[in-house]
Amino acid sequence: MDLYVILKLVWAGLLCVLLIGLGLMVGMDMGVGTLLRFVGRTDGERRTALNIIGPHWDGNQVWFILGGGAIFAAFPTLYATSFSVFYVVMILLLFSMILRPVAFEYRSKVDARLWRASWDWVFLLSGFLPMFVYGAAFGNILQGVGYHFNWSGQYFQDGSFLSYLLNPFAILCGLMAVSLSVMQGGVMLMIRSENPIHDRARRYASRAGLVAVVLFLVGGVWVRGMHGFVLEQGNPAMPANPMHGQHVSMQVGAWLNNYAAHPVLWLLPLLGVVCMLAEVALVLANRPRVAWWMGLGAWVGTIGTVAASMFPFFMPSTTNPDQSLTIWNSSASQYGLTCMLAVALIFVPLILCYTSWCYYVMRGKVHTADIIKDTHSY
Amino acid sequence: MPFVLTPLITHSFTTPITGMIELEDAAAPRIESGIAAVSALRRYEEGHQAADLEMFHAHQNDMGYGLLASRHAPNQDVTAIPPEQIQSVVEQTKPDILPNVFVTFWSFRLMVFLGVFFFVLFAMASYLSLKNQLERNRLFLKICMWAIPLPILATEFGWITAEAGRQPWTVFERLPTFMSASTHSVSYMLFSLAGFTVLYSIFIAVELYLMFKFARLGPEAHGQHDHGADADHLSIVAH
Repeated sequence: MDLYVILKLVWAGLLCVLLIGLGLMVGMDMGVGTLLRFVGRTDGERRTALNIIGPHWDGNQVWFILGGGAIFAAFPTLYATSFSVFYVVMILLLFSMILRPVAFEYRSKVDARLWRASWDWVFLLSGFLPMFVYGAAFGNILQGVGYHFNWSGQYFQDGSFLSYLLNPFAILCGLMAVSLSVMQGGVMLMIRSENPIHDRARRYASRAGLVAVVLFLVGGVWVRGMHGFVLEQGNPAMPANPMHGQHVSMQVGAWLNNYAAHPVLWLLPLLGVVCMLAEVALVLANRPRVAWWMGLGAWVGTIGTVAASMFPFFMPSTTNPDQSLTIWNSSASQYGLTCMLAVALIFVPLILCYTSWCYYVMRGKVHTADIIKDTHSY
Repeated sequence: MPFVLTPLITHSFTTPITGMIELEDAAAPRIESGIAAVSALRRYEEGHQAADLEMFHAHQNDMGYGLLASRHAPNQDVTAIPPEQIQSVVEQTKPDILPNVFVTFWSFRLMVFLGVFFFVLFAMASYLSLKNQLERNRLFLKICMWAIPLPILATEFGWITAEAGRQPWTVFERLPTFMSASTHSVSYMLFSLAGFTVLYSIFIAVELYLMFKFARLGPEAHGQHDHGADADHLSIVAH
C-alpha cells in the first residue's frame, strides 16, 4: 500500500483515539458538572464534588485541544468545513466552555448564596451543553450535512443551523453522549467521595448507564432505515482535494454495509453495550474502580461503531454527495501527516503517563469536613 | 530614521526601501498575470481543456493577485472582464495591494511609545525601591494605578499593527482576506459578536468586583497564610 494511504489511515485511527479520550476524560468532568446540583445538596458537598475533579479537569481538557488540533493539522479541510458548517452550534459550545473555567475559579471566591447558586447553574449548563453538542455532531454527520464547494474551494452551507439542533436523531445522539458522561462522572464521584455524595452518585450513574444502553440500541435500529453513503468511486491515494475524483451515492441502510462485508465489526457495538451494562452492574455492586474502566470500553465501542459504519467517510454531503469529505480527500499532505505523527508518537504517551501519575498522586477520598475548613480550594 | 528602519526591514544598511508608488507599479504586471491564472482555472474547472491547464501553470504564481482583482470584476468573476477593460481593472486593483498606512503607522508608534513608557516606569520603580521611597511617593503610585490598563492597550495596538499591516492578504501573495472569510450571513456574525460582547462584559464586571474586593482586603489579610493554605490544599486532595 501507498505510504500516503497508510498515513491517512493511521491518522483517522488516531483521531478516533483522541475522540475517545475526549469523550471519556472531558466527558467525565462534564458529567460531574451536570450532576453537581443533584449529588450535592449543601455547599460543602458541592465543593467536595468540585474538588474531586479539581486537580484534573484542566489537565483532561488536553483531549479537547488535541482532538481539535489533530483535525486541524491532519484533516484541515474537514476542520475548516465542519467547524464552519456547524458555526452557530460551535459558538454555543465555545460560550459554554468559556464559562466553565470561570465557574471553577470564581465560585468559591465569594461566600454568598446567590453567587454560588449562579455558578452552580453555570456548571450544569457547561457540563450538559458541550457533551450534547459533541454527541449531536455525530448524529448530524451520520445523516449527512448540506454543503458544497465552489471552483475556488470556498465552501457553502446549504442547511440551516436549526436543522442541526432540532433534529430527532441528533438529539438522540446528543443525549447518548450526555448519558455516558453522567455515568462516568458519577463513577468518578463514587471513587473519591463518601456518603451522602457516594450513594447519590451511584443512583445517577446506574440510571444514566441504562439510558445510554437504550439510546445506543434505538440509534442502531434507527440507522437501518436512515440513508447512508456509499463511495462508488474514489482512490485512497488521491490528492487531498474534495472537488474532484469521487463518486458517492446515497442509499437507505448503507451505514450497515461495512458490517455486512466484515461481520467481525459487530464486535464494536457489542463491546459498547456489554461495557455499558457491565458498568451499571459494577456500580450497583459498589465496585466503581473496575466500573470506571468499563467506561473506556463503552466509549471505544460507541465511537468505534460510528467509525466502522461510516468508513471511509468523515462528513458526507447531502447536497453534493460527490464532494463528501472522506479520509482520502480531506487529509493534510504526506509531509504534514509524517511530521504530525512523529509529534503524536512522543506526546500522546506522555499525556497518558502524566495523567496516570496525577490520578495516582491524587488518589483517595475527599472529605467534606476538610473542604469546608479550607477556603482556598475550589 | 534611515539607520533604524532600513536594517529592521531589509537586514542591511544599504538596500533601498521601496516606496508605495513603486510597489503599486511593480504589482501591475502580476495583477494582469493573476487575472489570466484565475480565468484559466475557472475555464479548466468547467471544460478540462489541456490548453487552460497550461495557461494556469504559466501564471499560477500570480494567482493571488488575480483573486485580489476579482473585487473589481463584474460579479467578482474575472472571466467576465471584457479584454479592453483589463487595464482599467489592473489600475483599480493596484492601490489594493497596500495596507491602510495611517492605521499601521500610528498603531505601531503608539505600541512602541507605550513600551518605552513601561521601561521608564519600571526604571523609576527600581530606583525608588532601592532608595526605599516607593511607598511614600504618592504621585508615582498614582501613575502606577492608572497604568494598569495600558499593557492591554499596548497589545491591542500591536494586534492592530499586525492585522492591518498584513492586509490585503491572509496568506501573503496567495489568499486575499476577503476570499478567506466564510460565506456565512451577517446575522451569524452578529450572533457570535453579540454573544462575545455580552459574555466578556459580564466577565469584566465580575473580575473588577473581585479585584476591588480582594484589593480592599489588602495584602496582610492574605499574605501571612498563603503558603500554608497551598500546602493544606494539596494534603486535603491527596488524602
